[in-house]
Amino acid sequence: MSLDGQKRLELLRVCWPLFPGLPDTLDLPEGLGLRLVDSSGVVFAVLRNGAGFGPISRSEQKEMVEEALRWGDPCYRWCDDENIAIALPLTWNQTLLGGLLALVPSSLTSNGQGNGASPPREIAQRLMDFLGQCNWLNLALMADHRAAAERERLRAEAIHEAKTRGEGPWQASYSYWEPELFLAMRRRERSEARRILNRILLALYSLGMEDLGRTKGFVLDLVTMMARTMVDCGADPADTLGRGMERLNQLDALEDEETLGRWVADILERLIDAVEKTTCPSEDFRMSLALKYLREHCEQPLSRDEVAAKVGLSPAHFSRLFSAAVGRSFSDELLHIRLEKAIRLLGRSDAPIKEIAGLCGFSDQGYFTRVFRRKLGRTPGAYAALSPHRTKVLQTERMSQ
Amino acid sequence: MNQNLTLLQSAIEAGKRKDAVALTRSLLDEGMAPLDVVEQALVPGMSVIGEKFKRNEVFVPEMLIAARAMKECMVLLEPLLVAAGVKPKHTAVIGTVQGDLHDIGKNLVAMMLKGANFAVHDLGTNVPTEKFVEAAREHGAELVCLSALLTTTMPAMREAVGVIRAAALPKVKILVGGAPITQEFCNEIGADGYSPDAASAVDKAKEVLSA
Repeated sequence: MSLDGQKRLELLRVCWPLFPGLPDTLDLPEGLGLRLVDSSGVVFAVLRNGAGFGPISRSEQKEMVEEALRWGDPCYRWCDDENIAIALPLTWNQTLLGGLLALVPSSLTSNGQGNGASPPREIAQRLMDFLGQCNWLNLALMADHRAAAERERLRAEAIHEAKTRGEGPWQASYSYWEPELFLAMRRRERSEARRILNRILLALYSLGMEDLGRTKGFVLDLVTMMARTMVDCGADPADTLGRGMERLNQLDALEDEETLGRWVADILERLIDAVEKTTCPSEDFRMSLALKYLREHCEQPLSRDEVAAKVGLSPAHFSRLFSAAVGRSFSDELLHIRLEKAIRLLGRSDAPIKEIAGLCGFSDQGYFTRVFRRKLGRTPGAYAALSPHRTKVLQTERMSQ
Repeated sequence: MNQNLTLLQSAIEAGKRKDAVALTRSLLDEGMAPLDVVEQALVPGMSVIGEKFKRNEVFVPEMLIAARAMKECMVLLEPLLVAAGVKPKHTAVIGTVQGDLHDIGKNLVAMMLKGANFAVHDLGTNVPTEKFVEAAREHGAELVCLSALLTTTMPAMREAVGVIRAAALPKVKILVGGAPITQEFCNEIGADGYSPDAASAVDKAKEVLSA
């Protein structure tokens, strides 16, 4: 069924009388604000003013309602005034009509570090149950979307875990040497590039343990990692790997160590050729490598001087180029990258906050909590306790704005 | 020079295993002495690829397929060398130190030493320190080669050198190598020689043995 905006609004207006009794029926707390929006995010009824909704824009309201439907769960967002907005979709069969927005004042939100249900979650659950009972929310559709989101989450986590488990000496070696390797290739120092690659290949082949399938898997990982960095540095891997990476498909057909050995040598020479031909300015190339190095080693105690040396620049020159390219100082960017990682881990892991702090390069949990709160308006514990996964997506976006 | 010797050398350099084995058979069928096949084709072939590796002109897999080709030829030749009464010039024990499971570099060195007419007793990977001592004593080895790929297993190499030194094996020389190892580390732990790559290992082995 497809309804245009006008008809959706009419439907909502027709049902408007159902809602005024809502707060009392559900025993909702004092200070809670409630409003109805249409599918484009425009407010068409204020059910209860509560503490006031603050500056939530129409597009934000629309986005929250759509996100809630997409993930099959209420959508939460911290407002600048520390209140928490909750969005629930209003549906007619499978069609989105609009949304119910609740604003939970900061006095009701949890500051705790525990994992129990927080007041915003309880309120959201009561509202969702109510809308389902009134047939204003298709709970079966929400459950389907929730299940799909859960499957996607589990799949993503499985991939992440597999990658984490697979992080062995050769991958660590590659990650460590990557800036030097790409700089050598860019400088047309082919011998130096081969020397670095041979260090990595020595570990890779050792871990392959003469198992052709295993070694092919590692080789595929290596070539893919190099191709990804080539893209970051402005090179076109399609020149080397073929459109749709068809050259990588040949790998599967290789039947013995001998043909694999020749294939590896050939593809690596081609990758070196492609990086040599890169035309992006040398400074941009170095900054791409530096940023990638920061992202991949942010859990370690990194210094500006160390990263500058990795990309072959003096510390002072590196600082100037970095600020100009990234728009932030080295230390600000490193903090930003570490907090982004913390947000991802808080949304995915049950690990204690202290452990997450360590995994993100914060040796002091107190400092981690302070900077997290300063940048995101919440302690890491409060952040982790609030909601499952898509809340983190929204917060990440908000942080990057 | 016999054309098949040249072809065999080229097949080793290029890592063409089947061609190398077929050419080895042809040379033996022609009546060539097994030691001549080793010294005039296999060793020069491995030396060329080893030198290229040393100069960073080839990649590890190219070196590996060359070594594999030579190994398969040696399977044919070793029984014939023994039957012909060819005695190894030196005896070596080789292994990767405890805690380290990497064996590529160690295997390459073992192959190069065999080609240079060493009797090589390969103890494998993750070798407990006392095994080096036992094997050196059992085989009367003059050379113990210790390999490590991980920085985390460098202390095990230091320990192995200490234990071998304390084991009253006065004629045994110790050669160390592996990606994280340096000449400075070699000096620090009291080994006799360090080789940065497989190609240099034979020269270094001969050098420490003649010292």
